[in-house]
Amino acid sequence: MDQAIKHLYWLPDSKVLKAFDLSAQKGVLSVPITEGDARTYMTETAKRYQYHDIWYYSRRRIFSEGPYPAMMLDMSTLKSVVNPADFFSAETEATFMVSPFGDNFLIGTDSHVFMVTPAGKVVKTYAFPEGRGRDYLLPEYRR
Amino acid sequence: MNKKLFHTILAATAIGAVVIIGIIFIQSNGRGSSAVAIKNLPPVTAIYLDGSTLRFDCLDTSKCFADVDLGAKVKAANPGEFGLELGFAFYDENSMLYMSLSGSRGQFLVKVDPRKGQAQILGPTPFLGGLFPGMAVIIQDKLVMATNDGKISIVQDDFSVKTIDLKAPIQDIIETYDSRVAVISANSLLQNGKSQLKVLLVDVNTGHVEEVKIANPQEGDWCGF
Repeated sequence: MDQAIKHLYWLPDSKVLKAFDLSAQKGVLSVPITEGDARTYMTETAKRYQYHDIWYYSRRRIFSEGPYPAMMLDMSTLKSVVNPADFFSAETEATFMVSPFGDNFLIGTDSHVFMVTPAGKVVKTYAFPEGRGRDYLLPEYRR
Repeated sequence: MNKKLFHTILAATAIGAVVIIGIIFIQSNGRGSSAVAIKNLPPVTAIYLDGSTLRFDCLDTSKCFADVDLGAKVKAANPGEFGLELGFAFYDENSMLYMSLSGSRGQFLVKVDPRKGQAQILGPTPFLGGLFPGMAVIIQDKLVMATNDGKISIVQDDFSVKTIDLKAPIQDIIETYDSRVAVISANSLLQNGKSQLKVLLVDVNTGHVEEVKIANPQEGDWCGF
């Protein structure tokens, strides 16, 4: 088997997330998903955003209506490494933008940008200048 | 007594001065560290699109890039409400910025040298037709985009676009561990009664295409890695 791809992940019925090892030709993970879990949104556009064994999905303010799909998942356990609510300083904040950056990730909200390790530890915090932090984009930097 | 008090105040002042100097040094050193980090990493940047102007906030350094005007075509496509949105953006290893602007009046691909304030613009770009979030990935510093009708477009270092027509509808593209992009064909195969996925591995440097078939463990939405 070509090792360019090692695993397949799939959601057979939106209630469980599974991983299939292509080398071993067998299922290696099966994680139940509860109602309202951000992982259910992987059926939409989240599935392709991967970096350093993290599966991530951003929520931008312009798409902020409805339930909360933003997440960072450890692809070896399929569990969340951060709780988006922990990054908000006000209830009105809606943006949760995840962007690969070197060895880490950036998480942008409406008021701050956090540098976060793949394990979910915040190593730096940057505040937006007054009046900024809306309708922005954080460029990725992958290496 | 007064002399002792004087010495105590003097000592406290000296300690205070050392602490303040220490804080200034640490802050200064911290800023210096950011400057060093910029050599290895681009600045932590927030990008805004205001009409046809790109604006920047560099959050980890005091100096940032000047505004960049993207010109009349972008201005015409971004009249205000329901105009262009920044789709994706990334720095390459030379700190050049690539970004997409998408809206009902046009889609653009932009390459910006933020230090020189220079921009190159492709658009409205035919290869972006059918593009939606997720059908673009970055493989070894190259932007790779796909359209549902089977075309893979690879942005070259000179900002030209190399397009490969795979002549098969595409369901998905996925980054891999090497220089190839895995293109999942929308046509799954049936072999010996078992469903198989047809995957085309396209090398983004050479354009070489290799076809592989992998077992489809189960129907459903999925992702490869």
